[in-house]
Amino acid sequence: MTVAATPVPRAPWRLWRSPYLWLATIHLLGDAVVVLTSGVLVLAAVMLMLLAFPLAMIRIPLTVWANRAVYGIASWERARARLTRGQEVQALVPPPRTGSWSEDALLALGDPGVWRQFTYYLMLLPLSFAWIFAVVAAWSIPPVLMALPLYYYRFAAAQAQLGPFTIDTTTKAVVVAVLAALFLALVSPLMMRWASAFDGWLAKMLLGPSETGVLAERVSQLVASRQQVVDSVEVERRRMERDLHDGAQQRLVSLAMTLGRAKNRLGDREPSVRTLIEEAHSEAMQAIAEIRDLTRGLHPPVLTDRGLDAALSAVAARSPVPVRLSVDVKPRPSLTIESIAYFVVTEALTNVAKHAEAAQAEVRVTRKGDVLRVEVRDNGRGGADPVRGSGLRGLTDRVSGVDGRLSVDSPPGGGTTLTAEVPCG
Amino acid sequence: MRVVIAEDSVLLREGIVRLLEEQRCTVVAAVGDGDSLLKAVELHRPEVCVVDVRMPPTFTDEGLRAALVIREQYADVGVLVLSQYVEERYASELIGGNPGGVGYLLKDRVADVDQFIDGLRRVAGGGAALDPEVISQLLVRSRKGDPLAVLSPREQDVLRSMAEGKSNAGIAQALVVGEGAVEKHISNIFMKLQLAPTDGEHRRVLAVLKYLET
Repeated sequence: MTVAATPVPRAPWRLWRSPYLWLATIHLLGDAVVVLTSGVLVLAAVMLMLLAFPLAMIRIPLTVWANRAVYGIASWERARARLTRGQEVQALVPPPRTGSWSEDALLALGDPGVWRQFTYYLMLLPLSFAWIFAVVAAWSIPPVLMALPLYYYRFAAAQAQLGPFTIDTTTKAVVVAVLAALFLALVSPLMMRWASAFDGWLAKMLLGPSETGVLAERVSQLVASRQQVVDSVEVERRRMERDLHDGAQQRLVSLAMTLGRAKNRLGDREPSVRTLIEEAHSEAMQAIAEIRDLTRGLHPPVLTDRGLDAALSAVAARSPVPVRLSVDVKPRPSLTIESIAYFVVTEALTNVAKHAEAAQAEVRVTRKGDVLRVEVRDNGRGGADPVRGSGLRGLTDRVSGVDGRLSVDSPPGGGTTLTAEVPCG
Repeated sequence: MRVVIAEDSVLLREGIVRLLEEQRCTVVAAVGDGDSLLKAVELHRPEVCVVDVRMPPTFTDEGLRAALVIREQYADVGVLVLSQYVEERYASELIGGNPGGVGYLLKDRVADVDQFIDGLRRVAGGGAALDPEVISQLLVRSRKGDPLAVLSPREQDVLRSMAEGKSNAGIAQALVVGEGAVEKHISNIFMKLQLAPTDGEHRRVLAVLKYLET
């Protein structure tokens, strides 16, 4: 039976009606059994881990196996906590295999997880004794004391010694019995609850990942999922580009071609019809050019095929402000990083053309180790405000999406330098 | 003129075939991918082939790679590459030091029938036809010791038109000047680029090459 993870009742009289009370008692008694079985196995595994360490040199991975055994045994404890307390303790993860025998053995020995779990069993040894006393004190002694009046009723001459008190009259026995009954009703359930809570806390602290471990795990999950989102956006951009390329663009080119042929075939006849065809033709050509600009903004195919250097020369050429371009990016970063660098240059040059009133711009893209650096400089009027400009904000968002940094240096009258640094390990 | 067409979009392929037939060209084969293109060229030995850059199975630069093979193996077959985007890098790879018998145009230039046919004939005849977009892309490269810096802006315009494959008359028309002025500019270009007057036509190619290499 599994106890649902419902809140444990706080009041003792409610505890009486909850299966929790009995399951906790069973669990606390079970600790002693665990110490005698799993605890011994874990101790043996840890000893084996230490002793078998030199064997890793001759490729006998006993240390690693023993390390895994500790994890296996600890998983029984998690299952027991789930069964009797409804407590979910997140499993620890053993160190990954590196492929090197000695390194694996070292990792197994230095693995904090195995030592935490070992500590749990060590702590359980004294605790399990304490729990046996607690269970006896909670559930066995009060009923015995409650039987005292009956005892006096049967054997009038008898007396009992309770610590410093001597119980030698029926009245005294009744008082003790009432106190014992109250203890049983009110204190015993609380004792079980506290003991079980402490037991559960210990399991959580030592069998589960530490708080930093949980946070670190969460952070790496978030980093991975963000990477997936960023990548999937890039994949989507490429898909859209391809769909437009294979669909609308081809159709428009075909249409323009047909119109061109019609124009040609018409020759000098029907000047009014010819004018109409010419208009339609130039409309079609404009539409083609617009779709081309649109799709190139999404993701230029040459970026995938040949990289940043090739793709950026087209961007620089389309800029109305003359651009000097130098790109030195080796080895090539991932498609996502390239796409972001491309986007930064495109946006920055659009801004230069729109706002900077510059006569000259320069684009430099370099890779130093694991950092891709994009620099777009112009000699315009400066005064660009990264807080107000929506284009700049979009850039910042896109760059920070891959843990990059974007800075804008734009003194009024002094030109603008936009620098983006993106990790590309 | 015997032509092979490689274009994966059936719509466009049929369109180009019809357009060329109207212009009294013979389309000896129309195919949809790079491998079939190479086979068709081997089989028919056309004067020129029209090649789309992006074709199956990779849908990246399949056509360009086939074009490079043709350039290398069949020196007498002209190659006119069409692309939705023209990219300077592809142009440089395609020209590869020899601007003869090669063209690289935006796909929509096909719609301008006369210009397209004119470019195609030039390529078939061993000349060049480069899209103005490519030329402007070639100009933005950051250059060290730019040999073209010695040219005046007007001379650069003329050289650019030469790179596009235009004749003197074509350049004069494009720049709205007399043919005499164009000739004068060209001889200045040859002088400034230190091209010896050994062979008139050859110098023209060398100047364009210099332009493309820098």
